[in-house]
Amino acid sequence: MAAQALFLAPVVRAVTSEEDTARALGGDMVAWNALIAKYNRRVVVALLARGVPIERAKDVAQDSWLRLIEQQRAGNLRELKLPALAVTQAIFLSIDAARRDSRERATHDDEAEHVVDPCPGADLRMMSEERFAIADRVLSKCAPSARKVFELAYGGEGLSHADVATRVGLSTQRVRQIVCEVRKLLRVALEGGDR
Amino acid sequence: MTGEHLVSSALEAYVAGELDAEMSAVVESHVAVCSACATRLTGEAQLEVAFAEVADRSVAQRERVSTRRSSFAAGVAIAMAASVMLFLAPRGHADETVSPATAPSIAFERPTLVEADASTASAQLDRSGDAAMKLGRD
Ligand SMILES: [Zn+2]
Repeated sequence: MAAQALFLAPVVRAVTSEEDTARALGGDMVAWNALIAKYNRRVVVALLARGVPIERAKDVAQDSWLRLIEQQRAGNLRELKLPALAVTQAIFLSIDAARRDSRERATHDDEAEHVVDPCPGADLRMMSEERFAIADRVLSKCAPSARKVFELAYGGEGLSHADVATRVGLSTQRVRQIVCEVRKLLRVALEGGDR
Repeated sequence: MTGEHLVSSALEAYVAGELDAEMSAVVESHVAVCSACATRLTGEAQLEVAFAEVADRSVAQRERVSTRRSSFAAGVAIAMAASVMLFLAPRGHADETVSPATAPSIAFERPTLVEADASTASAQLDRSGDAAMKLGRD
């Protein structure tokens, strides 16, 4: 099944994400598969967070990658900022699908296919300013090195624990502990913040 | 359905990408048929997305601070700027710990996926319901 070929476990390759991204932009399917293996979870999680059921989230995520690959093949992809671009694509696809579902066979006036803006708009954010302030207070109490580890693991492209470890010169186990600890502190603060 | 529910650590590990394919499949097939756990998974996913947004903002703030710092440095004598740097970043790599006392207890362990205790599960469900962020859906 072609679907499964997209989701093979990542092969251990001594290639950076930057290299994969450059190759994917050149149409290299091995690089695409590596990027999908690396970032698909983020896409699925973004959809789950918006209430999309798991099976559908996985389908939409897969569609998003196929769209990106199509766009690349059509020469419409200059930049490949991941996972942000795939997440944005997936959210648009799921919104489109929800609209199609709700209006069954309405006129096709706004059916124009979304070609995604490589800089996702702020309106896709889920956090409110209040919640950012709560999180900020937590992070400001963390050791600077712990904050750095958290930023590398969760910010931007989101490095694996092993990659973070290499970057900051700690063991993978230590990085995992730090990430867990910061996550726990944020969880408590953010969950309490709703009350 | 057996009446058993996924433990919270399994849902958390799932969204964090810490489960292998086999364990992930167990989570996915359960939430596909259990709306209670599906709702809890949504809550975990929202938290995971929140973490990413928090980290992005944290990086952006740090970059803004260092830009301000370096443009300040450009306008002032370099020796002076260097001393400012010392005060703004007082702790080097010596400080690597979050909380040494609790760190060992939070080491990642492969979670037990299923718990039979329905009362615990519904307590967790309540908790994740409380935790739910405002959804962007309308
Ligand atoms: Zn369940």
